[in-house]
Amino acid sequence: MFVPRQVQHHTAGHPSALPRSKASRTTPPARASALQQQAATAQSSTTTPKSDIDPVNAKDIVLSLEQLLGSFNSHTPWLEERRRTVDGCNDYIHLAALMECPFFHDTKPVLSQITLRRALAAAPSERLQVSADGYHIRYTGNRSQLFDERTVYIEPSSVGLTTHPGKVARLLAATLPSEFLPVRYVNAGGRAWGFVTLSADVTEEHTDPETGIWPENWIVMTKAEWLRRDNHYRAHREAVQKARQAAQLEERMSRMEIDSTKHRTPSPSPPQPHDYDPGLIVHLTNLHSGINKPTISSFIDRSVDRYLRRLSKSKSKSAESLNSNPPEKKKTMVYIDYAKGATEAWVRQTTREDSELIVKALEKRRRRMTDNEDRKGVKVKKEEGEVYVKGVVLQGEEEGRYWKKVREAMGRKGKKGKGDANGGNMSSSRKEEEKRAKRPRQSSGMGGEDLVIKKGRFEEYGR
Amino acid sequence: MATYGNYQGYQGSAARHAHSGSPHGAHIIDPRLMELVACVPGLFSEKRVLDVGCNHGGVAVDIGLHFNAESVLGIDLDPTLIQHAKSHLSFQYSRLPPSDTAGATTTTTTTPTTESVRSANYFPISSILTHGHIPYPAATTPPTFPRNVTFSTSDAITFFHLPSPTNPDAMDLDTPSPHQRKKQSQPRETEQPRENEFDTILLLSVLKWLHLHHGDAILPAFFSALHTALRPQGRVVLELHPWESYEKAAKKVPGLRGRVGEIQVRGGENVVRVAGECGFEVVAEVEEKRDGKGRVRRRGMVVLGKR
Repeated sequence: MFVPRQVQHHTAGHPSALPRSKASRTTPPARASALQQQAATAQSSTTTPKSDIDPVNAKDIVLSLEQLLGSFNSHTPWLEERRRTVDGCNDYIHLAALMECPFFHDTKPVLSQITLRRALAAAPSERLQVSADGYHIRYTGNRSQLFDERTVYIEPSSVGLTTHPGKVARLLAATLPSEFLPVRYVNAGGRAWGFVTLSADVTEEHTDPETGIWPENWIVMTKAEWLRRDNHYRAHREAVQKARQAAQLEERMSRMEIDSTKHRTPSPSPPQPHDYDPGLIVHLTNLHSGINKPTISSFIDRSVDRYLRRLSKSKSKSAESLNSNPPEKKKTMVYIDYAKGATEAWVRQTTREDSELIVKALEKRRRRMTDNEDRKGVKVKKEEGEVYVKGVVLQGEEEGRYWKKVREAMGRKGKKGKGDANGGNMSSSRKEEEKRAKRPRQSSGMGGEDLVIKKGRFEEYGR
Repeated sequence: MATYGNYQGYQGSAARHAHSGSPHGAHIIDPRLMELVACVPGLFSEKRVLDVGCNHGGVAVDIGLHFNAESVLGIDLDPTLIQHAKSHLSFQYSRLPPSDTAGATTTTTTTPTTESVRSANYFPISSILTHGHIPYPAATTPPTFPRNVTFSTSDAITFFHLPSPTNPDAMDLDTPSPHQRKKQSQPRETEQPRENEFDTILLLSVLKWLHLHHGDAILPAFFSALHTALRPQGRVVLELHPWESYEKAAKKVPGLRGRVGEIQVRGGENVVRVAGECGFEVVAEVEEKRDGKGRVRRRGMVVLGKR
């Protein structure tokens, strides 16, 4: 059977079959020396020349290995599961396991066992011990903890550098004073930024670019300073968003005020009996500021759906429910009225029962919308208070006022050609359906634009 | 395939020179801009700038943020790149410290300093990518950063209303997907430039693609259109591809293979000669840089002015 060489490399001596292999676990020290001799003779005849790897690349790879094995980092538990007993020591790791480690996932070109062996041969490390067979390595020194005081945030001069921890360590070794070396660990946060843990505490004075101890055009700050700026950014963003929402709301209210003044008749007639079906509007509050129609719709649908499901489960358990009908599934919402950035919305249903069902479901589930969970919602604990999405069925004057605004708004929109033949607005679901129907088919290959544009992806590129 | 040089993640010849292939970080100003300002002081300060073929908008945003430009318009024919450019603008605005995000530009000097660049990159990239961008401030008059920088999807031929290209099929080398076709059929976001609208027009590594697709005939028409759109004291910056780059592009793009042989105006000096015939003169020049093996590490640039 033909097996590509690349696959052969990956599968040869593959260590990911856990637990440890019998052979490696039971190698007695007496036999180890014999194996060592065998390996030495085999190596002398089969190894490829050291010069086949660029010495700089070799150094980078070895520095990466030292970081990975010489510190207690996020990959340590992963590595612990793959340790083997070789040459009498139980902390060796096979090169194939290292290749698979997520630490090297972004490393290019992709590592192979041959590359690792060549690198270890071309740039021997004082802290890494290679086994007799040449396929296992262990760290000989004391593993270091990653202290925050010794960690700095970096934005290197070129993008993608942080995905090569060895290269970062080599560049830093060229400029930093010896007290900070060796570089203990590089944690690539993204392609353009990361955290570097050094061997000594780093202060604000050290991070000043005027000191000249950092590579040119790097942005460096202590972890404390980074945390301060990160908190500052969050607070600043929140303040700007709130101010923006308030301004938008104010603008919307003033617009509505002006519109209602324009449409006011000189002699207001006494309030008419209801010219609308009461109890169809649910006023939602405590919504997430980044809402839109799909998120509101999904959130409510999900809430009602789960509520009904639970209700039917509990009823089916009880004896009375045998004769009762299952609760009717909620109808589709007719209209969602919201403003971008606002935390409230109005939802119109076809029947009063649907409105009440929504209110009950929201009250029962007590979930709030968050940045990432604006459709699903997050359960609110009791101690957090009433921060969950609440719904109230509009009644009385409040309801009358709302309907009046709706009619005025519908009248305006009608002139622009929006709304259906009956003067009502097209339901959001119908709009969605139409939109979907008109949408051209996305190409299946790389040409689909939606595949290319991803928020936040570009930021990574070029920074 | 990027048949018009609309490469994703293209950094220009500057990146190759400074960072041996890797794209430089967003906090580093494009070195070409610094060289240009050293040659022609005040090239961007309080000027209306047009960046033709702006790609991902790095240069346009740098000019709007660091060089105190009155306004910058970046155009590119690739809608994906324009999306990237808009995103980059928003990203760069989000990096400013709060005092600068109230709708004021960070620099009022003609050339950015180390200090001004450092302060413009106050917030860490990690925060912006984790928490999201900062919304833009309300519009001000005159517009300040980021509202002084705008991007538009438009190709140079349409933007300058140039006469029909010699080969009408030239625009169809990239067979667009139905979605892209729909986008292309939408009306352009910008109108034809008015007379004397711009103070500085940048054509950084753009002319080759126009030249290859539309032949020699496009050059005089294009330079005449630039002449009309430029103010009397205005400047046009040309970053020119060497001839071997034309040949390389023709090898890569099958549709261009036949056309490269038809081109008679070869080499930067001949292109500048055509510009001279259209009423331009050379104001300044930035030399091309080659490495020991004779490869171009930095393309040469020519600054043209109205005669």
